[in-house]
Amino acid sequence: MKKLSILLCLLMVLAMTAMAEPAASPIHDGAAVLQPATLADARTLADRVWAATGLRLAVELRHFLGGADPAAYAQRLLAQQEDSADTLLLLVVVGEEAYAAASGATAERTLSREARDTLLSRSFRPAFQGRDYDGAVAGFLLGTARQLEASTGADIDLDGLFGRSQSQPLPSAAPTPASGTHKRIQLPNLNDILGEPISPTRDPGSARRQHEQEDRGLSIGSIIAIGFVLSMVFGGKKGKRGCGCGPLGWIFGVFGLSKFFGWRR
Amino acid sequence: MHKRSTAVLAFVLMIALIGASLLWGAYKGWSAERRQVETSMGTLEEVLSARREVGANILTVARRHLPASDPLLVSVQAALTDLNQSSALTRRAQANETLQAGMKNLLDELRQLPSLSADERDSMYVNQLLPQALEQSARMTEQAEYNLQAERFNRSFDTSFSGRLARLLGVERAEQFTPPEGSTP
Repeated sequence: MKKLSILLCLLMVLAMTAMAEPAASPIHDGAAVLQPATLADARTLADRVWAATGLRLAVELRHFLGGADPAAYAQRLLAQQEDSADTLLLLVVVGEEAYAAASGATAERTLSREARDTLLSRSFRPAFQGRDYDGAVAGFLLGTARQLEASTGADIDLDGLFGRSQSQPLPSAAPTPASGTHKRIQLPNLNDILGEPISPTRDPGSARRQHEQEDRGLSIGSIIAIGFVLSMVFGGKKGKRGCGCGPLGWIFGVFGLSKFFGWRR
Repeated sequence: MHKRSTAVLAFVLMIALIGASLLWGAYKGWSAERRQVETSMGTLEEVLSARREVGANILTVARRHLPASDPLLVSVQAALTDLNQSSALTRRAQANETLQAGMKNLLDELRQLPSLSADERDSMYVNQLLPQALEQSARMTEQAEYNLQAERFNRSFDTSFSGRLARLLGVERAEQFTPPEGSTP
């Protein structure tokens, strides 16, 4: 019995582990502008930074925000992140040519707002303005990793990421010239632009059925009450004036009348 | 004599009770139905929010290639403001129609611009992404659950006897998300 219980517990733990959904990647390219290699390297770097410093790096790319303010939107996205306090989030809005960053409370202690903004202006902005989105994201992430190494003393392995070796210098602050051919932009999922699919708040079919079941006009209780009242008023003792009907007769009579005149559905 | 007057009184009381039950039942039933229609207003708001977002996105791209004083740009901006600020459903429906026509014309105007043809990214937005978003949001607006429920409610409310009774007690028709008759976008 004891062995069976232990086996059952083990099976349950295994089942829960299997059913557990993998954590969503903090690097999300909703605009589909990054090369797959850049995306993969960004996720690898984010994992290494987290392992070395406890800081989570998140990047969110969109085409448009539908008129929302990028800074406020970045804060909302940050609040939705797992461990938002430890997260530094970069929001890149390709179609609006805008970007914003947001840091959780712990993340801001690790990498100050001034340092973050400096990184953005030196390592991200030039490439972003040149529409080199791969270069911009790579520059920001590499720059952040180097800054964290300097400030925390952690050792973060950057070798092989974004096509560079450890000895290579960081991307320069000079603006990269806009290339004659732009990267091919794939048509994204419209749900990223229009938000969640709209679903009615209530199934109209069930609402209709529920309404039809609700009493309109006379309810059963009303009919019974009226029947009793009529019985008391008109129903007399047997032999005396009055029809001699009991209350049931009056109730059924009112019920029939309500059906006939459509007082009750 | 006394018994006759009692009988008459009882009869009158019975009629009054039946009448009161009818009125109360009609009011209760139709009020509940109206509340249910208003609950689905949430879906209409979501759809209109999506419309506003598409409008804002088109304006973002348009401002890069057209001057701020461009008449179409100004018209779309005004329709967006109207859609945001008006409370009357008919007025918002009118603004929605104006917005739809304005956005379509603005995209057509943008396609003619050499500056847009030279910009691969914005060209993709104007030729593919934004028209698709515009069409999808227009379809969502047409199929908004609120309008279907309001139309159904009003049809039953106007034709039924209990609906007329409920109207005496202050229950009103549901306002529909349709522009006023005779209006042009």
